[in-house]
Amino acid sequence: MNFAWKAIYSDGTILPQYNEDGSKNGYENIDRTRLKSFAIYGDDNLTFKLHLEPNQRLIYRRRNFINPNDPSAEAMFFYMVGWQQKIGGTNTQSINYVYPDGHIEQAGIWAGGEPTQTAYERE
Amino acid sequence: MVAAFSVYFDTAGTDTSPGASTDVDALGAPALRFKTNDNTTIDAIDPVPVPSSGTNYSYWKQIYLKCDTAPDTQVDNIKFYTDGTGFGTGITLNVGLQFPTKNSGSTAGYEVASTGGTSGTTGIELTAGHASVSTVASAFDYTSGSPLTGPSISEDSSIINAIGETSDYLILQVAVASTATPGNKTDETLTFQYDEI
Repeated sequence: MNFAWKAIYSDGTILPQYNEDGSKNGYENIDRTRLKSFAIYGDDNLTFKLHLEPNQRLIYRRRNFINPNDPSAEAMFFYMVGWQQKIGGTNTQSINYVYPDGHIEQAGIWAGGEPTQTAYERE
Repeated sequence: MVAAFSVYFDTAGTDTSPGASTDVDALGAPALRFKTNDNTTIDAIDPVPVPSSGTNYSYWKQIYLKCDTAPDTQVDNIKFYTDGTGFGTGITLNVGLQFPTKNSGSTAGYEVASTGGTSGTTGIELTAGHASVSTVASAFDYTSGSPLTGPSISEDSSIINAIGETSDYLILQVAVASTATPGNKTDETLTFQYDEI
C-alpha cells in the first residue's frame, strides 16, 4: 500500500504530498497558519484525519525500522501524526500511530523517542 | 518517494580509508558475525575463544546506514536498539557511545579493526583501540522503549536527503569472559530506527 498525506486549509484548498502531474510538495511547504486538518491516505483511501484546533502544532513523521542482521526481514514502519500545544506552560501532545495494516493507536508520548523538531514545527 | 536505506559495514584498508564497504543485503541473515577476523565472510572461522581468565574481544564492526532512495524532505533522528535478550552468561555486545565520522564525503572516523588484535584469539577492546570511542555500554541495555540515540549524521544540516548519504559509524564489539560457554550463539535482533518526512 502506498501512503501519502494531504494538508487541508481553512479555506478548503488542499496541498497534497503528490500532485496529479507527479510533482511533489514538501512537508516543510505546508502553510501552518492556515492548516485546518491533515490526512493520511493509503492507496487513495482516507486512512486517518487529524483536525487541528488553534495553537495546536502539527507533528508528522514516518518512523522506519531496519534489522541489520536480517536484511530479508520485511521492513516495518508506521506514521506518527499528532499535535503539540503548550497549555499553561506545559508541553502537551497527542500522537496517533497509523500502521500499514490500517489500525491506529493513540498515545500521549512518542514511542521510541521524540522526533527532532524542525524550525517550522516550533512555536 | 519513501526513502530506502541499506546497512553497510566497512572493513580492512587503513585508518580513515576502509578497504571494503559491504552491503549486508549481499550477505543474507545473519549478516553480522562477530569474529576475530576483519573480513565479511559469514563463517565459523576465527571465532572469539572463551578465555581461561580475563576477556577476549571480537574485532569491532563499523556499521552505518546508506541512502538508496532519497526522502521527499529529510531523514534524521536515527536510533539503535536490540531485543534486550543477550547472548547469555559471560558474553556482552558492547556498543560505542560515540559515533565516528562517516558521511558521503569522508571516512575520517574509520579505524582498522584488526590493529593490535590476533586472529583466532582476540581483538583490542574498543575504547583502548579506537581513538574516537571513549565509552561503551551493553547494546542489550537499549530496547525499543529506550533506544540509543545515534548513530549521528554528519552530512550537511545533520540530515540525510540525498542518495549516497550516510549515517556516522555505529560500532559494535562482542566481549567474551571466562564464564561464557563455547559454541555458536542464537541470532539476536538488532534494529535501526529513523524518522522521515
